[in-house]
Amino acid sequence: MLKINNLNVGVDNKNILKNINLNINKGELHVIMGRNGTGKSTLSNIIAGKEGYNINRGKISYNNKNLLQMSTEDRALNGIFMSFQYPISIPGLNTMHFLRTSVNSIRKHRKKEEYSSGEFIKMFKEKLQLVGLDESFARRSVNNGFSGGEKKRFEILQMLLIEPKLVILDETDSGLDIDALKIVANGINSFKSNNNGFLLITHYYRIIKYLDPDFVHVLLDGKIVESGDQKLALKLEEEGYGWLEK
Amino acid sequence: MVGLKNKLELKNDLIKKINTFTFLNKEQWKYTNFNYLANFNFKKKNISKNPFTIKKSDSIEMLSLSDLIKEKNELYLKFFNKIIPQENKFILYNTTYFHNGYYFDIKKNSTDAHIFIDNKIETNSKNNFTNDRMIFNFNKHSKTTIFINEKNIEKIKNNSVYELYLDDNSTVDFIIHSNQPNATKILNLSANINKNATLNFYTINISGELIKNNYYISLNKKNSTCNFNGVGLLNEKNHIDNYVEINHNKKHTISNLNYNNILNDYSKGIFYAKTIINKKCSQSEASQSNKNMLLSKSSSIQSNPQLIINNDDVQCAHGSTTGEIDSDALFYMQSRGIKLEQAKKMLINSFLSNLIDKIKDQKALKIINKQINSWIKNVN
Repeated sequence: MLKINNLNVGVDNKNILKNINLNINKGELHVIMGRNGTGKSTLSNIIAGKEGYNINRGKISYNNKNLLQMSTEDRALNGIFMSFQYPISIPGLNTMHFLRTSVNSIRKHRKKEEYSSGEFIKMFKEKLQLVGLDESFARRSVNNGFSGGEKKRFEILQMLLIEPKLVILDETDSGLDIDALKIVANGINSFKSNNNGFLLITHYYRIIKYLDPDFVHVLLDGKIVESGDQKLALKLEEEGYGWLEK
Repeated sequence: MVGLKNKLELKNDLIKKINTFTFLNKEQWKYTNFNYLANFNFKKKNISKNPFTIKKSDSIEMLSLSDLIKEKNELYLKFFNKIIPQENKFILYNTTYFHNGYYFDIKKNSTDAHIFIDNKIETNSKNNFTNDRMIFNFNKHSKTTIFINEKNIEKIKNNSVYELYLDDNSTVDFIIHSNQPNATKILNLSANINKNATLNFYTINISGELIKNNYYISLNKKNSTCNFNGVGLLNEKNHIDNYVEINHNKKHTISNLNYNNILNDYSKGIFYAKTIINKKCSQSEASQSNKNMLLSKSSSIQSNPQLIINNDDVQCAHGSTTGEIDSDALFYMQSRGIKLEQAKKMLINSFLSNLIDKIKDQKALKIINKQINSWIKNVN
């Protein structure tokens, strides 16, 4: 589904990602771990389509299309979803209006009938329960005044409503207490299937143990220096990253 | 209005004052050049038809100003030209030469009183200004909604003066919506707010060739409150210059001023606000916020929110922000499948909605939202 070949990315003459190679197939959950500032969020942003980066070399294909030539919204319409590390607050933009516009844009692109207001509210309420948010969210502005945990749960809510094909979770577990972490992990597990792929960026083993990933990669200084399975994440939790630099 | 000049007993010095007045001395006039208007004629009555269509509830007495002078002279003497400051030429012109005008008396204890005024000047000969004048007298314990709807594509020139008197415990939602892209329009408005009275004021200016609004609000008794909300949408070569002056004249008075502008193309906006807390006005609260969104490189805004505080025991805050459309918010929305153009429009709308959504009157809200959406639709 997603193939990254020899990707080199920089900002202002500084190389951030160096020779990245990564394949994510349907049904797979990949984890990227690494120290702060090693390029993990840059990789997420590049996949989601954020501007401001120089692609110096390499390519990314998504379902055999050149991803780097697709606009941000085209990527979303074609099934890519990123849960933001720092979700953006938009005062004055009603949450329900935002969600319905987003979901219906994507449904329209998939040639599915758009949800009526009533249908959407019904589905919204069902999914809200899964992420442990209450109905008052419908009346609030997007991410405005949400706590850190609420923002992350709201990202997962959007994932459940949008039903993407490729999900990038950029430190979705950061700042969550244990209960919220379980809710977020349950939300991810309830959606994970053989029809979608996941890329999770995290610093901690504590979410990995709930998700049972297929692959764990370590990103250090812009390069993938080690790949393995869940045991690798456990080793990093116990020993840190120092052993990879020797 | 034949014979009005005699009734008004205008003195020669008023005319003299007009002739010697210059705009250059005060800060609120320095951002817009009005001197070219000196060549225009404020004296002629240059409209053939009354521009006002007025619908009102029964609890409101309405008199034309000429009838007020004839029939209720004591009210005329009490309310006409009593609170509007005699500090600018346009007010003096209006006082001397006004052609159209009404006095509205909102009865004591009336609830759900309303006045809807459609102001549409149909003909307006070149270089001549019309002078409108309105007096609103909100009696004790009254609850009123006023909606003035000015929508016109004619190349009009208009000079209005409004005086608002809010007596004890009255509550007023006063909404002015102006969508007149080719208008040269000057409004001077004064409001006196008494004990426990609240003025919820909304001014929505959508386009305008040259618009100058001066608002003078006086909080005169304990718990006098003014919630002032303004929205400006400017494009092409529109020029809108707003001056808001709020005077806290008693203890325990409250003012909240919020003004958001969106500017596109080559438009220019001026927001100058002065909230003055006078010496003995302890435990007063005042806030000022001015937010501006520039949609083009060639648009500009002058923002100057001033707080003048002469008492230590008060709560005050003020701020001003000017910036482009938030690119992070755009990216967030695009990453959810919302197309760039639609995302921009949603963000523009959200920039206004915290002010517009406060309007409780559904008829006014519907008209205003329709006009705002139509303006946003044309944003590239």
